[in-house]
Parts: sequence; C-alpha cells; structure tokens
Amino acid sequence: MSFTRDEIIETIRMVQAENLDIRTITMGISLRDCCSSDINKIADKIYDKIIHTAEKLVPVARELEAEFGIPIVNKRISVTPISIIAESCPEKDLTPIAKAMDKAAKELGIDFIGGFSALVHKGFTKGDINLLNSIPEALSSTERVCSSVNVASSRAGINMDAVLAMGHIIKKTAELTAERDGIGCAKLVVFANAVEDNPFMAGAFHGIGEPETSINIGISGPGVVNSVLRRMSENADFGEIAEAIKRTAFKITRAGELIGREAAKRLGVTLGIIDLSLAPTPAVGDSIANILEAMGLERCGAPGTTAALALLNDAVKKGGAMAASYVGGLSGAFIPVSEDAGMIKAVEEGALTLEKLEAMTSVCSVGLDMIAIPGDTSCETIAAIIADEMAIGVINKKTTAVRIIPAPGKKAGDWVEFGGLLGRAPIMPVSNFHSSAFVRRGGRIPPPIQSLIN
Amino acid sequence: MDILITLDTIKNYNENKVIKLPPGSLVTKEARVYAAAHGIKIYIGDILLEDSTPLNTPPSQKAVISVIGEDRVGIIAGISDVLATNNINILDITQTSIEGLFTMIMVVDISKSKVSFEELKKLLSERGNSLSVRVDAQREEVFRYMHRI
Repeated sequence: MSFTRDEIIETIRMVQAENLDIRTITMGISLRDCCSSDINKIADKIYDKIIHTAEKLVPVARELEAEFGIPIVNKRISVTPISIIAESCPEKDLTPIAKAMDKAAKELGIDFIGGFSALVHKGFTKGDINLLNSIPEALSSTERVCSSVNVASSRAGINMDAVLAMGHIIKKTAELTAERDGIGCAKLVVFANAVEDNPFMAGAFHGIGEPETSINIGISGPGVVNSVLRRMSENADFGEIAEAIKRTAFKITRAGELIGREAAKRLGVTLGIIDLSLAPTPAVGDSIANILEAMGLERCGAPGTTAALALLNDAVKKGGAMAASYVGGLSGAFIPVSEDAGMIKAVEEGALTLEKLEAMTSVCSVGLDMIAIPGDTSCETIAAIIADEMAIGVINKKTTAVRIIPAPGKKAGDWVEFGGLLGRAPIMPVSNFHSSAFVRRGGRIPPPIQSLIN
Repeated sequence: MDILITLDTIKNYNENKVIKLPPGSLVTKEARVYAAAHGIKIYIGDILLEDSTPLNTPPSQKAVISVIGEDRVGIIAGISDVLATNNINILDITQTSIEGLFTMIMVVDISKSKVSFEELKKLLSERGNSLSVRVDAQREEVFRYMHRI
C-alpha cells in the first residue's frame, strides 16, 4: 500500500473527530468593469457579473467535498472595494449596491460576500465618503454583505479622522441592528495594513492588484493541533511543541493546497493563495484558547498567554509555508472571542480581558475580533480602542483589525447571541476613563520610521 | 496587437476551439493550461503552441475506502460486493479488529468504475448502514498530499 494504515487513520481521525476542514473557498471577483454614473446600472452590472462568474463555485465546492472527504465549510465571494466602483456615481447612498450583492449571494448559496469596502488610510475620496456613510444602512438592510475599511498602514500612518468616523459608524450599525444584539457590527472590520487576497470574512475584498478572478483558500484545524498537543508528554519542551505544531500545520495546509489547486482547475480560475490560518469555530475542542491551555496555561489569558500564542503562530507559519505554493491572506492564528468556545469560557471566568487580548494581537493575526462591549460605550471610546489596535499593526508592520460589537442595551456580564459561526459572547467591560479629547484631534498619525528597529 | 495573452483573454474567445494569434504573442502558462484542459488549440503565427501540462499531476484513478465499526460477519464481503458489481478493482486491503472495533482500509482502482464517484460513495454508505459500519471513500490524493512530500 502506498500509505500506511496509520497515515490513513490519522487523516480520517482529523476530519471525523478533530474538525479538520477547509474553512472557506473564497472567489475573488474584479468588479472594475461594473462602473457607471448611474447607481442602479452599477447594481445591475454587479449582480450579473457575480452570478455569471461564480455560478459554478458552490457546485464545484460540493464536488470536492465529496471526492476528497474534507468538509468545505464556507463558500464565499470577495469583490473589488465598492468605493472604487461607485466613485463616479453622484448618488450618496450606496445601499442599492449592497442589496444587489446580497441578492447575488443568496441566489448562489454563498454565505458571505465581502468588499463593501474602502481604503482610506491616507485620506478620503468622494466614493470613500459615500461608502463610509452608507455602511450602517447597508449592513442593517442586508444579510450576507460584509464591509471593511482600511484606516491605517505602515507607510501612511493612521488616518485618525477615519478612526473617529468608524467609531460612529460602528455605533450606528449596532443601533440599526439592535433587535439582533448589533449583529451588523459582526460584518464590519476596521483594518490596518489590510491585505488584498484575504479569504476570511468579514474583512475580505478583492484588491486592485488582483487578477480578474481568483480562488483563495482559508484553512482551519485548531482542533487537530489541540489533539496533537494533548497527546504529547507533559514534559515536552517548547522545541518539541513547536515541532509538533509545524508537522501538523504542514498536513492541514496540504489539504488546503489540494483543494485549492483542484478548485482553481475545475473553475478555470487563477489559484490565488492559501491562507495559513488557524480559524476556530464554536465547536468544542476546535479552539485556539484550548491549544494555549494544552501548553500548560490554566486558562487562556493567564500570564504566559502571549508567549504561547507567539510560539503557536510562528510554528503554524513555518509548517504551512512549506506545504503551500502560494501563501498569503492573513496567515496567522485567529482569536475571535465569540467564535471560540475556549475564549468565551476564559472571558466568562475573568481570565481574559480586553487589555490582554490587545497584547495577544501583537503576536498573531488578526486583532480584536468579535468582541462584544457594553452598548453604552461612547463612539470616542470605540474609536480610541481602534486607534490602539491600528498602532500595533502600523508599528509592527502587520495586519491588525477591530471587529467590535457595542451590543445595544447590554451591560458587562450580559450575553449576546449571533448564532451559527458567529457564535455567542459575554459582554466585556471597557475602561470608563475618557479618550474623547484625544480622538477628536483628528488628522493623521505619521507613519513610523523604517530604521532604528528596536 | 496584444502583447500578453492571459487566462481571461482565452476565456473571452468563448466557444472558439482554435485561436490564432500574431507572431510574437506571449501566452501565460495559466492560459495555456486552461486552453489544454478545454481542448482549445492556440496558434502563434503558423505554429501550434504545445499543450502545457498543469501544475497538478493528472488525477489519480485510485481511491481509499475506509470502514470503521463494530466487528461482525460479512463486512468485507458486503463492501467487496458493491465494488465488484460496479467494476472496481481492489488493489490493496488491510484489516484489523481490536477489542471488537473493526477497521478496514482498501485502496481501489476506480478508472473502470461503472458509476460516478458520488454515486459510489452513496452505494457504499448505504451498504455500510445495513452492516452498521461507517464507510467512507476518498480520492487517494488527499493522503498523498498530507503524508508525502
């Protein structure tokens, strides 16, 4: 036999018992040929183009799932930032475009469509402003559209006007979706150093350097890494732990590589990248927090958590980099609170705070993700939280993001329920000290010096 | 004249099975792979562009069938029956039964299969249900990718 029995059993166990799956196949579609000065024409063109281009995405994904026996959890689409497509349109409210995207996604069986986005790290164009102003309405009147705004980069610094605006936009979005705990905010990400080929939602968009269409794969598998570590001896040192994670990451990533190549071939589309991320799900055991705990921490958030996460993140990249021909996207461990049962537990028990999460984001992708905060948190405080996170990304030359939900009417200790992959989360307390005079200054925080790197 | 011919240029030739390009045109590898896969011939001037083999090796014709469950009489016979009926050849088989837990792994050749892979999976899982075991079939590449460099 060309494989040993143990190898075959290992793969089967990973899939059946440890939640190994392909988190997402995301098709990037350029909408640059959909521009017009009439918003309804844009919406129609976008709808037609998405339906036409991605027609086979879901059937092909199902085919691959059956043939290779690895579940593909999500089929998604990312498109060119809509701010660019709608630039020459005098209409200020871009909601009709979001609705067209939503309709196309529903028809194709796509769970999320990303790209209701703008890149404003250095300043705004007319299209950017219209897009930003349309976000609350667009996210509350659609189901599957995701929005992202890049407000900072290591080369441009932090656009603090945009940061403050995002504080208001997030608050407004939460209010418009108040009856569902502010779920609109779960579909809105604020970025520093956003990447053009990210397959993961809510931050995916099809960058302007991308081809006409591409296939990007997001892998998963915290459950697999968790089981590997739990089976190791308690005396294993960090070298051995890193080695075990590397080996496991290699195998997980290979599964993604195989699916990616096959999908690209069958769809006749360029294979973009494999995103080497460990993306958790609310399923028990499929948790980044559990991996950190397997290394010997009583609870995620205890002192030592940042070091453990740094080791994990680096080992995943080292193992994955060899397994895939093109690596990209966010590529790092995700720590979304509401989507990770271990994180939820850590927050509930008081082991994990907002401040600790912020520290953790400096050594992993992607940022303060899926964090529910009290509904009465001010726009300025939200903006200040964003500014802190952007600073970490800008200075460390990495992608960071904020996806935060000020749940209307909820207080620290209450719960929000989003259901499905978005999960549930306890409301985390936020500092009561004000930052409003700071964030209201406006302007742009200059980019950091690129030498003197200590 | 187009200097560079990409995947999308080829796609936009629609149903054309023969594409004639002026001498000196550059065709990306990706475009050539797509053309080869869709039976499109590309001429540059009068010269036929050679088919390019994709990055992927040709699809394997092997599958791995795994059976896990409680040991009982007739599991191998039952599964083999489904395979024989559909003209699928067993290349290798390994089986253990430890403390009543039965695992069997078969490598089979599906190149002459009478049914599609999806249909085969369905038939196997139906048979598995009647034998109270879990049967799964996966294309062999999964294991090759994950366990071989």
